[in-house]
This record gives sequence, structure tokens and C-alpha cells, in this order.
Amino acid sequence: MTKRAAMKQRFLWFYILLGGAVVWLVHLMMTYAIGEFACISKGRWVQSEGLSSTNWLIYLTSIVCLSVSIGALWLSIRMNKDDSKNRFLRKFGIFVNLIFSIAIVAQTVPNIIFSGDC
Amino acid sequence: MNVADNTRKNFEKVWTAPVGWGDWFASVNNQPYGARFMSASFIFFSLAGIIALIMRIQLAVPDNNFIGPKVYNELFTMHGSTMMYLVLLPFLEGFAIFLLPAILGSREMAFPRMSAFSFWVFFSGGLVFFSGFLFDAVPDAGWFVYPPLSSSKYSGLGLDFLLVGLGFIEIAGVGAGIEIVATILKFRAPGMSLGKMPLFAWAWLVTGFMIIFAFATLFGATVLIELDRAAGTSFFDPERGGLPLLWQHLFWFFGHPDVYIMFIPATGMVSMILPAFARRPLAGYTWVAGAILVTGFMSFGLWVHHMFTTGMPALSMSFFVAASLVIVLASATQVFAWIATIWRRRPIIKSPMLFILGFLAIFVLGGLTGVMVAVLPFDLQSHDTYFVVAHFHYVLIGGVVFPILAALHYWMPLMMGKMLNEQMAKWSFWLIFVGFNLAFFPMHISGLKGMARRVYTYPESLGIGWLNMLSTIASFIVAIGFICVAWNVYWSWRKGPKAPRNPWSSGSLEWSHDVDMPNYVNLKPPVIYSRDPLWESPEEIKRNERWELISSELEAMPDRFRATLITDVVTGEPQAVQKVAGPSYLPVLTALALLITSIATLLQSYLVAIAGLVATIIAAIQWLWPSDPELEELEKSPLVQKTGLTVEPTGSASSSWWAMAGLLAVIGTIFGVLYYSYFYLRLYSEAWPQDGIAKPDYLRPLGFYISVVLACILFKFAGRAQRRNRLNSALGFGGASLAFLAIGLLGLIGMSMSAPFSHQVNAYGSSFHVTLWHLAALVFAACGFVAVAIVRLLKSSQKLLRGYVTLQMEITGMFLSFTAAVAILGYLILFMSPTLL
Repeated sequence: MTKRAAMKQRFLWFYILLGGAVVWLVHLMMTYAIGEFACISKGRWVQSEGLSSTNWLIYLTSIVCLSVSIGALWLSIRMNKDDSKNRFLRKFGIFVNLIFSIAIVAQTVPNIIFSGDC
Repeated sequence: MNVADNTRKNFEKVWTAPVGWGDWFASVNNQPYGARFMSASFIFFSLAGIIALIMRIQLAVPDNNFIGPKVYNELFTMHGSTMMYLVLLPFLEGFAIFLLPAILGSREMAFPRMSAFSFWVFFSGGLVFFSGFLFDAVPDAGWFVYPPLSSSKYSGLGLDFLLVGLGFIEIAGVGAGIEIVATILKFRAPGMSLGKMPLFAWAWLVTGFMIIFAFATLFGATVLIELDRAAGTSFFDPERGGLPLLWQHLFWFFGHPDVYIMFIPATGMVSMILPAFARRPLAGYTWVAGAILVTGFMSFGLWVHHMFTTGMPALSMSFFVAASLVIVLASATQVFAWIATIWRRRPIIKSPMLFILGFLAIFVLGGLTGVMVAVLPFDLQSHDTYFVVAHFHYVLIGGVVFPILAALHYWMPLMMGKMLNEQMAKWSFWLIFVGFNLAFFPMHISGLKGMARRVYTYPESLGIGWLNMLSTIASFIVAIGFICVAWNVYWSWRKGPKAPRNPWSSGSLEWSHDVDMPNYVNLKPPVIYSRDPLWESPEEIKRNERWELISSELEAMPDRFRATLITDVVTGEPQAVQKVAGPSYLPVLTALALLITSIATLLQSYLVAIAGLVATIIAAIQWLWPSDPELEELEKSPLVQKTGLTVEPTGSASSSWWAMAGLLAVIGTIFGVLYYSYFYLRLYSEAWPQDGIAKPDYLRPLGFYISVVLACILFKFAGRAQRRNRLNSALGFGGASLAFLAIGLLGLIGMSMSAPFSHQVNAYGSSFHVTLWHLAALVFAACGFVAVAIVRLLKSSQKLLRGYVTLQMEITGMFLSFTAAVAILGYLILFMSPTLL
């Protein structure tokens, strides 16, 4: 295996194992920070299409994070299940990335319910 | 292959733990230290139990004045702190340190002297904790030490005892965490890939990482609160721009994962014990491993659900409600996997299995009330009532203590070589199970009826007197149950029947040994082909020739010093033979020096404190001093020639690399605490800098920060020169790097000393100065690392192997790169952000 291929393999492992987890944490921290900041600096947030810029920012964060998480899920599903070396990683990746994707969706729901609530 | 008798004799001699009183302190083997962790925790558990019984007597009847409010406050603080810091996690760590080498197929933990150091630091911390009783200075601000109650205005010396003891326990926890992670990642048997790793190891791998981040957060926060108390800073003092709520964020960022830090290893134990009694492999191994990872990660995103009543924005809190509910998916996955394992089987009901069944019943109830308190409106009603007390005792006793008791009954034959008395074990189970439910279930009701926690009594009009009387009587039944467990262990140790090999017919690797495991655990490294090696059929195995050859060649080898095999993190492919540290007094001496420093600081004897600090530094340098001439011999030995293994692993192949990564994670988290505090204080401050302080000049300090970055770049050149065998260039670049670091260090100290405002003026001043002090300490440590690397370079031409020096240069380079990154971030935050943001 070339050095480049080995690096790619290692990246793939880490992305499948921890990709969903890391973006979930990023999503939670970002949405929490946006919510706190928006509530403290009330009045400075622009309204557009019936939603405040806080809501837009949270949706944007959710879409980006969900894409990364679903990317890890998709890569896990696409792994060759007949290769015994991949079997564990494939199932593991599907499970953890599915849960983290669900968590990101669940954390986006309050944005629909509590728009503008501080 | 049968090894020659003298080889085996030499090998056994090398691994024998020293005996005798003096040598008792020098021993570093994993098994005695595992046992010491557990024994010390049990002593602290007994003390916490006595405290709990006294509190229950106080609460037995309404309007009681048996101990009064002052003592009650002290006792609930000591009970909570002891159980959380000195009992549950250390007991679990004891199990991990004792069992991991056997479970992983290794010979030792990665850093045996670290195990010893962690134990002595932990034990010292416990003594400091309890020494408050001797000076009538018992802490009384709760285990969570919320300011302003914990400020010097409202809490005396007792809280300092708690905080100093806590600091020790944090150091011990982090040390054990790094060691456990490095052991699991690198010290596995050939063939034990991540997918074949026992779930006990999976649980500890995740827990090890959690300990590193959570305890480092608490350490950073403890330093800030102690600075507020002792040095007059104002991070949490609202009168000078600080925020008490900042402490709650920092504390619960540790506190919530801490519950899972105890729960996850317990689930790992359950996943090992249950299959033995169900006589089949665990159902859904991969899902359970995944659930452990999910639980570990998500536990860091739930801290706000301890703060629902603090008046945070509804939007922010709702994100955490969602996360708190989703984590249930991961816990439920494990519960269903355990149920599926015993489904349609008739499990053998022996005492360990009884405790597992008790765990399932109690933990599920605790989990359900956990879902209730995760829901915001319900939590607003039940917060600070006995409902919450009932909930967390169901989770912690059901979810942690019951698995610990199951593990004690399950692994005792391996740890002690004796079987416990089964009849006595069953009696203790029923006493604890029935007593526990009678003691804690009524608290749900008394809590819903309005009984407040942390209050020494309650009025008769609440109508909960009989519920409390029931809880009090039942708590004594629980105590009798635990006395039965202790008596059973003692009796079996002294007079119990000798345990047969693998008494439970388990499939996991640790049972492949005779009971009374030797110190080296594995004379010959086992080769792993499946998840349950003792249940596999030999004819179905496709053997790997290289692994088998390595295993044979390493039988009773090396026989001149302690060493074990290290393998690839993911695949379990053998990579190298690594030397393991032998007996030494340095761990206990370093811990002692640290203890003297802390106690002297606490009692304001600064000269003694400085002497203690110097002794600590000398002991640490002696510990790290390079001397590894034996490896050269090993490199040329037939063992290495035949197997193609190296004795000088570098980069991520080496366990030292992982230890350094762990250390950087700890330091990074501490700086994360500082930077988070800076922005949090700023977010809630009307003006920043506060009180009309001028914005800092961002040009003047630039030069000092650049010198730190330059030091890092120069050291990279030193590393490159060393790899190309250009020793003089390496020494030159190394020396220049040290000089630039020294300039940076002086600059950082100068910036703090010349600032026109002090650290006591307001929260901005505190944040500014304390961050600079931390940066200066980091750069000082970097100077130490570079100095040691230079010494190794100087010695490299004489004794040390080249790869060994390369590794030293690599890990020093890692530390310097990290220092430069943290310094740049510090510069941007302290000097640029007030102007730009």
C-alpha cells in the first residue's frame, strides 16, 4: 500500500468512526452559542422570510452538519460487506452515524418551535 | 516450544514484584496497584456509608435535631464528594488496572510507574479530603461547590481541603486515563483488532478519553475557583464582573460526563459477565460497541440539563433537552442487547448473574426517571427535591454499584485464587437489593410531595415522616448487605476454597490463565482469532503464521528486563517489543513531594511549598532521565532478527506518542476552560475590557509570541537534522529553540508584571493575567522538554538507540507545535479580540 493510499484509508477509518460524533458536537455547540448570543443581543437580529437571522443560521449549521454526518453514514453503507476486515467497521459506522444524524435532526426541531423565544 | 529452565527463571525474576515493607513502595506491577485502588476505595466507601447512615438517622423523623444543620451540610458534602471522587471511579480503575493486561493478552499496563503514581496521588488526595475532620474544617458547600457559597466569604479552610484533595484526585484520574487509553490502543495481543476487542476494553477506551477531557475541565475550573479564594481573582464574583453561573457551566461540563465515566465501564463489565452465564456470545456486539461510543460522546453535550432552573434562554435549553432524549437510544441499545442475550436461554443463576439481574431492574427504573428529569417542565418541578436524589441513586447504585458487585463476585477467583461463598453472596444480594429499593423508592414520592434535598429536616405537615422512617430502616439493611460482601471477601481470602480454572466456563481471554495470575500475566502472548477465544473451535481457525511465530519467540522473552509486545491500533498487527518500566521509588516520592507542596501552600508555609516543588521537579526529572542501554542488546538478538519486530517504535506506533497526545488533550482542555471563560465573561459584560481599562496594545507583545513560534520551527529543523544523523546541527537548532523559548517565557512574565491593572481588579483583569500565567507555565514546560531532548541528543552518540532519540524528538516536537498553537490562539484572544470583535 502506498503512503497516500494508507493515509486515505486511515482518514476513511476516522471519518466513519468519529465523523458523525464530531459534527454532532460541533452542531450542539454552534446552535447553543448562536442561541445564547442571539438572546443577549436581542433586537440586532435581522428578520427575513418570517424567520430571524438566528433561525437561518441554526438551519444552515444543521444542514452542513447533517450533510457531514450523513456522508459518514453513506460511506459506511457503501463499504464492501463481504470483506471480513470491513464488516465490523461497516456495521459500527452505520449505527453510530445514524444515531448522530438523528440527534442533529432532533436538535434542529427546537428551532422550529422556539423561534424567537429567549 | 519449551523454553529453557534458566530463561524462564530469569524471566520470572525480572517480573517479580519486590517484597518487604520498603519494597512495597517500589513495586509498580499492575495487580498490586489494581488491588490497592480497590482496597483504598473500599475504605473511603465505608466512611461515606457511615456518613450516609448518620444523615438517614437525622432524616428519620420530621423536625429532628440529631445533628443540626451545620453538621448535616458538612456530611452531605463529604458523602457526595467521597462517593463521586474517591469511591466509584477509583474502584472501577482498580478493576481496569488489575484486569486489562489479562483481558488484552498483554503483560503489563503501558506505564506501570504512572499506575503507581496515580494511586499514591489518589490516596493522598483522599487523606487530604478527610483531614478536614482533624482541624474542624470540614467542607460544607456540596460536592458541586457552587459559588458564591464556596467563595472565601462564605466557606472557610474546609473548602480548601476539599479543593486541594480534588486537585490530587484529578491528577490521579487523568494519569490513569492516559495510561488506560495507551494500554488499550497499543498493548493488545496479536490479532486483537478493534472488531475483536472485548467490550470491557471498548468501554474503558471510551471512558479513558472521557476521563482525560472531563477531569482536565474540572482541574482547570478548580484552579480558577481556588485562585478566586486564595489569590483574589474574580472569575465567579459578581461584585467585580464575574459570573457564578460560569462555574456551573464548567462544573457540569465535567459533572455530567462523570456519571457516564462511572456507568460506561460498568456496562463493559456487564457485557463480559452476562454471556458467561447465558452460555452464548453477547447479542449485537457491534451495536453495543457503537452504543458505548455514542454514550461517551453525547455525555459531553448534556451538561445544561443540570442547569434548567438557572434562567437560560428557552431556545438554548431545548437543544439540550433534545440531546438528553437521544442519548436514551444508545443506552436502550445496550439494555436490549443484554436482554436479547438471555432471551430464550436459561441463564445459570449464580451470584454474579443475580447482581446483573438486579442491575437491569434498578438501572432501567433509574433510566426512566432520567427521561422524566430530562424533560424541561418536569425538571422545573422536581429540581432540588428528593425525586432527583432517588433518580441518581437508582442510576449510580443500580447502574454502577450492582455491576461492580457482580464483577467482584465474578472475577474474584481470578484476582484472589479463591471462590467466594455462594450462599453468603446470595444473602448479600437480597439484602442489598431489597434494602436499596425500600430505601430509595420512597424518595420519589417524598420528593414529589415537596421534600427538598440538602436541607437537614422537613416539616411534619408534609406527611412524609413514614416514608423517611422506611428509608432510614432500609438503609441499615443495605449496610448489613455490604458488611456481608466484605466479610465474604475476607473469609474467602483467608479460608475460601481454591478456585478451579475458569470456574464460570467463560469465553473471554483472561480465564485462559490459572487462577493466581503471575505478575507477567502472559508468559507467551496469546494469538487472537475471535471475540471469545476460549469458546472457539481450533479446527475452524485459519492460523496466521507470523503471529504464531512472534508468540512462540516471545515465550519468556526478553529475560533481562520487562518488555511486552505492542500492536497496531486498528488491526492488532504486531509492531514492536517495548520495554516496560520496572520497580522504582520515584512514583511514591514524586507523589509525596507533591503532597508536601500542596499542604504547605494550603497552610501558607511558602518556603516549605517551594522546597516541595523543587523536590517534585527533581523527582520528575529523575523519572524521565534517559537510560536504556539494554535495548541495543535486544535489537541484535535473534528474537528481533527472526520476527522482524522493532525495539524502537516511533510516531504513532509508540505508546509514548499516545501518552503525549493524551497529555496535550489534557492541557488543551485546560486552555479551553480559560478561553471559554474569557468569552463567557465577555458575552455577559456590558463593556470589555471592564471598568474603563484600555484595550491592550496588540503590537508590543507580538515579538514574544513570534519567538515561541520560531522556537517551534527551529525544533522541527533539529528533528530533521537528528533523523539525518547530523548531530551538531540538531544540537545547534535545539539550543536556538531553547533560547527563543526562554525569550518568550520572559516576555509572558513581563507582560503580566507590567500590565497597568492587577488580576484582582475585575473579571477581565483576572482572565487576562491568569491566561498569561498559564501560557508562561506551558512555555516553561516546553523549555523542560527541549532541555531533556538536548540531553538525549548529547547521549545519543554513546548509549541510546537512534530510534529512541527520534521518538524523543518527535514527542518534544509535538509539545512545541501544540505550545505554539495555544500561544497564537492566546495572543488572538487576549490582544486582538478586544479590538477586532
